[in-house]
Amino acid sequence: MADIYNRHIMTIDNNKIPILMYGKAYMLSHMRRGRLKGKEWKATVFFVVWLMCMFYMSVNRFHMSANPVPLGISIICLYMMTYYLFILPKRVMLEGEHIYKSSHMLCRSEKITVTRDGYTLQNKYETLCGYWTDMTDCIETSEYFLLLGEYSKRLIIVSKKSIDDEKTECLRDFFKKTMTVKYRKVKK
Amino acid sequence: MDKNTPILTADYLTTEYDYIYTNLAQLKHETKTLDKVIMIVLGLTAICCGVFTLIFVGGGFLKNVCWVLLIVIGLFLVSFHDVINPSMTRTKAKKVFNANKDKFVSRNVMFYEDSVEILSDRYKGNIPYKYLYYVLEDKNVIVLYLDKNDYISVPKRLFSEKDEKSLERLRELIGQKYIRIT
Repeated sequence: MADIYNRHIMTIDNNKIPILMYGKAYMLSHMRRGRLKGKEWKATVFFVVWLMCMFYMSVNRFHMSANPVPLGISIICLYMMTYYLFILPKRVMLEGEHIYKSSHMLCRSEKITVTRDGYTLQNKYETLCGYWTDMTDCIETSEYFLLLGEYSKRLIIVSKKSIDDEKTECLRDFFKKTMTVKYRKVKK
Repeated sequence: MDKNTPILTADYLTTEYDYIYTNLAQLKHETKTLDKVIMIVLGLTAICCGVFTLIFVGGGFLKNVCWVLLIVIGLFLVSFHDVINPSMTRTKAKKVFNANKDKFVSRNVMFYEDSVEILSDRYKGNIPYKYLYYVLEDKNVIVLYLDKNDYISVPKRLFSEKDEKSLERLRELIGQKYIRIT
């Protein structure tokens, strides 16, 4: 019976994650469930407030001395927009790269075994197992597949460089079928 | 001692208190002494200013309220790192633990001469000490950092006085990466 659950789908040898890819994946994971979640919405709120301040100031013919409060608010709003859209993502990406550098395991090449019900990730020192039902997100980008789990902080990244086009297609179909609601493709 | 015999073994299930103690140990480690000193100095200054003006300068009702507020802010700053922040961390950890109870699985950790073996139903690792990011120890837990973000916490309630010698050996083996916080 266990053989049915562990039915082998694919084995990916030498899955190696470069630091830049990990940084991007870390940023993407934070956009799904971390500090970057809803950053566009937050930036939009500040943009609307900034527009309102600009409108108010335009009614008063942009006299800076007559509009110190809207001027101050609009500067703060501009900063917050920049913060949410550019500074924070960059900071999170750098944090991801810092985590990668601090680990002796993430830079190692891994062997990933994909089965019907889960995956097994192996490197020289550790073996991680997980089930597709534990996954909260499955994100496909042009460079990799990113799997975010509930039980582990570890990001499961399958680099497309380590598999050929046929296997990529097969893996995409499998993820689409297994994690229908959780699967999404992004352009980044 | 035989290389294949573990120095120390821990077989456990993380409890709510273990999780809280881990969070408190991490907080203690992350808090810099300089930050603490600055907060205390600022707080004491605020308290002194508030008390002095309240007694010797006074003023109307509104002014007195402002001085009392200054004293309250001073008290907040003085007690932030030792009372307020730990209790906030404790409450948050309690909440997180209760929301994710099923994710804290039983674990078996074995410390050998050159590596640590970690076994759980989803993870199996044999990590050499040189590949650990660092190890944190306080009076309640030992936290093994695999990287900056990922850690495994071993509660010290599992060890008796007999294990103190083994713990000392472990500290020697891990060396500079072993950080003890009091």
